[in-house]
Amino acid sequence: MSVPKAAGSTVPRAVRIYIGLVIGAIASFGVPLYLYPTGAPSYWAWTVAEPRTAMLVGSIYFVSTIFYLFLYRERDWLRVEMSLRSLFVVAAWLLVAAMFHWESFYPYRPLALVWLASYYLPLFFLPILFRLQREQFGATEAAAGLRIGPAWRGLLRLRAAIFALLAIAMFVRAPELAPLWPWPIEPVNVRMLSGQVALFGAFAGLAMKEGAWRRLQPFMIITAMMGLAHLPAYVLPLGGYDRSSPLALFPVLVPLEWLVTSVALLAAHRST
Amino acid sequence: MFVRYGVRLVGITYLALGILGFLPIDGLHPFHREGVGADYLLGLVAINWLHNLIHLAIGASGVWASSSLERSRLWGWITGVVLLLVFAAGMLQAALAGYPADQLLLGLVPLNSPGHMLHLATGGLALYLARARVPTAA
Repeated sequence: MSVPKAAGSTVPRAVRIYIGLVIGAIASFGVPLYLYPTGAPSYWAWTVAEPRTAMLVGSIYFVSTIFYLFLYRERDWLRVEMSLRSLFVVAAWLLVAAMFHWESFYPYRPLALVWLASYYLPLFFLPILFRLQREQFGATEAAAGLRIGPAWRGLLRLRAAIFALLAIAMFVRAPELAPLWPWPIEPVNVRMLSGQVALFGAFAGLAMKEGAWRRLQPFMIITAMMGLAHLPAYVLPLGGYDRSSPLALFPVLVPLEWLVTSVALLAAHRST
Repeated sequence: MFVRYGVRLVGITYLALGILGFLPIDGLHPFHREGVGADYLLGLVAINWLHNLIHLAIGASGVWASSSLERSRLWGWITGVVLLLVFAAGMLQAALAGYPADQLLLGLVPLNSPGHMLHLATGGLALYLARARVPTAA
């Protein structure tokens, strides 16, 4: 059996089907968590007591649902590739977090089962899909198009290093950081949120690779969307917020940085 | 090619899970006294020595099968069907028992929901590899 390559597209059909599965899974997480965070204790996969936490945990799924709906129609593998790599990173990160906190999970809630399956699958399936794409279409040419300038590359590397350290610190020190958080939060959720810090803060440093803007652009779009999606959690009346907490500014500054940096980068490269 | 690569990847993963389960390091598979009294591999998947042996068998057979496309596809069919049957049986047993934290399948093999979903994900993937069409070169 053999399948000819689709004219004009460098994205295999199997990748599209996989993206379709991803959309189904993350929509089932993101829509309820982001739009109905107060109900999270009754339906979510693990303990989330505060609606603000639920909304922030759900923001990545909600935003990714919208983003992957657009990605589903993308024909340029280079633009799909980075988003799939980021999926691999976040799946591995959050699965490790789950290993530390399985006692916080509700093992047979439907969303817990879907969550587990959808976090196992990328670890196996994505390397296979990458191999399939290479065999079907060969190496993808990244040289064409706009390059990211040296100053931007330096900035992206610097912020990647800072966010990577922050994410690791959040993951490792979650039990000590949770009591210092500006609202009541469980260590499991500090670790889950550290995955977002790793992804949207640090991953762009890897994503720019040889500096092709068309590879990085989709990732900066979703980073801007994430920054925006976090902000309602601090504006809506979702419970108390201790402004005297030593970490009072941290949860707000992080998404603001995502928003400002990504919008500035997108504006600076808007000619494409 | 990617089918053989996929079978090798799944095989190596199961082989690694089997080996990790046998390593005498409690942190890798903490014992859960409650429930059926199983180790939880990497804090998630309920295992015992028999479950580890099964993981090793799946892994070793996958690595062996990945040496040819025909064997890889056959491995995909057999492993896929078996894992999906184990998933279905495990979920049914869990449902009948009121969804306990963990359970013993056939009185021998400890299972829990991370194990069920691992069987579902890798079983589905094995079946995909058994049926996947081979791309023509670009």
